[in-house]
Amino acid sequence: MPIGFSEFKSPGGKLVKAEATCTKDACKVKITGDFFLYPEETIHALENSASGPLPKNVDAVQKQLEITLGLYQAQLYGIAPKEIAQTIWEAVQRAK
Amino acid sequence: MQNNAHAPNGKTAWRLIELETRPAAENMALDEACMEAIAANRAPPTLRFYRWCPSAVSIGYFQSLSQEVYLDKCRERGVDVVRRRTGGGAVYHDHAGEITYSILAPEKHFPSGIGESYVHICNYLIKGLSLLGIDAQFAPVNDVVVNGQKISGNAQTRSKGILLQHGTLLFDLDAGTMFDLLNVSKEKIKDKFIQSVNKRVTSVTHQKPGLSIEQVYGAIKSGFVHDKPVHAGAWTPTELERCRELAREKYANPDWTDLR
Repeated sequence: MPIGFSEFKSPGGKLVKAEATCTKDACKVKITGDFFLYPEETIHALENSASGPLPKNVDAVQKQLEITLGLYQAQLYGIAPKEIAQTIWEAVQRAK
Repeated sequence: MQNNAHAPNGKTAWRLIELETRPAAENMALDEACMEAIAANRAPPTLRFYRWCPSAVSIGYFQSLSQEVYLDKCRERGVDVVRRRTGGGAVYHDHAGEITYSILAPEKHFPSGIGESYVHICNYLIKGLSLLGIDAQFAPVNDVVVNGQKISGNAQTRSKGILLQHGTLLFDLDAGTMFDLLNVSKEKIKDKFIQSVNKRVTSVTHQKPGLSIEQVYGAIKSGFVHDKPVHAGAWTPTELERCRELAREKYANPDWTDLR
């Protein structure tokens, strides 16, 4: 299956990397980096929310991330949902 | 001592674990064991200082082990590798070149905002450095810098109402070893290629040559304790037992180290 990678450094210096493993109509996303997320275990839920049917656009990815952060009452520090969404989106595009 | 122990002035009494040296897995396990003990009201707020022997690389909770660390080189040099429970980046903890601190207490002892709590705790470090004549500042999101050069990196987590922040203070910089062991992302340093590592990072000995690590520890400790009643203490048998368990089953376990 095609794999796409992308990485982004935030203005504050924090780095997020996304790896997307995609089929024709779905993808599995892994998010790594040196940012902060509280509680930390929420990363798995974020990855799940970004995985599944291929996203239509970057806004859809961001919305899924924000919904998940709200559900888990989680907070990102050092990176914004929009920046993670953009990184995921680029990884998915490169995996196609 | 219990979590609700108070000094005569009514302020919460803190426990100080003086500078000690342990392997990486134990250092991280003690942080977690202490958090659990405080959450269970079996230990007071705690301040600890430690070094790493053997020297070690720690990686942040969200980092990919294989992407961040040259494992073969770590093995060759006898350097431990451990995954932290906190986020943030990969750090080389040189035994001779670093003092690490952890501060652990119920969240009520700190500002509620994440950024504000980083500033609050890093100000202890900055106060300690000022006692050495070093003018340092907090640099968002989690660093302490001197003239723009990083001298300390810090990472925080919260669990069951307890806040843990641990951080490094570079006493002496071994940039060669650091960059032999860490796979620094090209994206991360793309705008800094033209600067040498020595220009981006500094150390106490670079700022104030001739200081011993004991002198530096004394000053840093003073910076942390100046606003709170602190008593020299020790780990409880329960904490040490839990530390051994966590070190064995989690922090020294390849399944955890290679989690991501």
